[in-house]
Amino acid sequence: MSGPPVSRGFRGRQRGAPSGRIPPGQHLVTDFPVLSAGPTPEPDLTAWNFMLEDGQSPIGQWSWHEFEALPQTEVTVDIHCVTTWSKLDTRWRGVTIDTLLEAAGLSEPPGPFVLAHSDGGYTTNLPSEDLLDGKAMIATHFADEPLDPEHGGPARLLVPHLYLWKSAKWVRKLQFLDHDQRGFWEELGYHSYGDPWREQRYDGD
Amino acid sequence: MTVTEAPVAAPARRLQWMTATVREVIAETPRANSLVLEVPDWPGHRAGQHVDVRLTGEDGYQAQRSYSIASAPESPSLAITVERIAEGEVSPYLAGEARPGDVFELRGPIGGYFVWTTALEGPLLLVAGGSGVVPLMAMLRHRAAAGGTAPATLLYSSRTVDDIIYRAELERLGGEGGARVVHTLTRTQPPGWNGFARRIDRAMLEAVGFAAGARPRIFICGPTPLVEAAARTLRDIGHAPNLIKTERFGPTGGSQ
Amino acid sequence: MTDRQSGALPLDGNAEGGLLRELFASDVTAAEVTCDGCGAVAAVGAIRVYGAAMGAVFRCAHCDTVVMCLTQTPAGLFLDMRGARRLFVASSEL
Repeated sequence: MSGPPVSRGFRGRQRGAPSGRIPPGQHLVTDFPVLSAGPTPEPDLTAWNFMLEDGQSPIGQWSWHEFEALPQTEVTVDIHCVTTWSKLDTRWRGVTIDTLLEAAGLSEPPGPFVLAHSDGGYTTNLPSEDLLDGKAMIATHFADEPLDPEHGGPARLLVPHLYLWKSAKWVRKLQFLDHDQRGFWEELGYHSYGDPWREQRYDGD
Repeated sequence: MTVTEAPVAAPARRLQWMTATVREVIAETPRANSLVLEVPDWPGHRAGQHVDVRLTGEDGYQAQRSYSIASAPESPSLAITVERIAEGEVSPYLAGEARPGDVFELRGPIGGYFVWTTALEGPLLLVAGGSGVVPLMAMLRHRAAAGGTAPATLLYSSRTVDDIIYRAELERLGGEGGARVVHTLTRTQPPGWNGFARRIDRAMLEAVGFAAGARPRIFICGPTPLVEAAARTLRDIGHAPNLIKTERFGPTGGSQ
Repeated sequence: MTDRQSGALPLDGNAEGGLLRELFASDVTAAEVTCDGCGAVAAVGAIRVYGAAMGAVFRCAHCDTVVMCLTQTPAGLFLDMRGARRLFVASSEL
């Protein structure tokens, strides 16, 4: 058997060569696709708070008002979704994790790993190192507008150097841990780290 | 392949990918084509079921999507109807590029929930949005082929008259003992149009559908917002939830 | 609503019928699942499915509890049944 029959004239989407700004297996889009593991939560800024936890112990907490008063950072970054689309030059504004740790009185993360928790129960895991030195923020604005709920508003984690499922929408808490605790998609076979440049889509890649 | 009798129960066996050859391409609307297929050893199907289609490119790249079966179980040929989605990956190929002689992989039939046969008693109410009409058309085609006599009504929402799939055949399916077909055109209407010209709502469902007391079996298929609104409204009108079956259509690829 | 934004709208278990047939010998879309969150019973084909491009997240229409999750990876198929207390398949479907 020589494999599945080839469909004459079928070409999938143009997929990028692993050079330039488009990682391997990705294609460029100019709009902003929406993908969610559940319904879009209704934002309620009066009840919203954001927490940092060391294990089970709270080490920082901010109401929406307090959060907006923290030093803000603007970034322009490329983002890459594991479902193969990439979007370049996206503009975000929010609070870097460096700023949050500083605001909590910490000079470094209290643990080597992080589990991000979102409204609706979604979780995703990362090494703490990948949140530092400007590599990650809690983003509240996209393209100069408040972040749309469909895209994670009022606030989402943004870690653009990893696949976008790591940039947890509707994020509410970063929990620092001493061990790597797999999150929602990671427990279902997705890669624990998720580097688009090494095409780490699934566990074992 | 010839099937003279539709199987009553779905055969319980592992689904294998089979090779389908396009025998005929029928342009239904500017955006939708039907593909009449030859599938050796096709086991037969029930109206409402779908198939998974898988395309493989020269470089080995594969893409897979699901499409409802349009043909009646009694039909000698298997047919699917595909509407081209802008920026889609598979639908522009199937409803644009594919020609007789082309091949792709197919597996099915799939689905035991959203199915109807004339053996199921009672009136039949079908609610379609756009390409959601495809599995419902298989039901109407089956009803005609099997000589079903219980009343049947299709309420079919399209954007414009040019978007109505199977328009001529739906007109022929009407008449004595036939299915009643009611259209609504939500975006633009042709001159002289005296049909519905708005999104499906409670007033329309009450005017067109059967009374709850008639206990119609209800199948709703189309984009998620239409399906969920219609299902909710029909429950509000008093139809039993277990008589209402839904199939939501929508993009499944991450960037469709 | 654009076609792109509609990517956030759920489909339903019908769309996962083919993948579920890779795992189960009979069609599961007609099977009835009892939600562990609220006890609601629904046919698998009727359950809302989110995130279809990455995997299928089946959520109860009444309480949004995650009933099941399904992904297909190079390693194999994952079926997580965290919120499914019971699955019933009628004899006619077996």
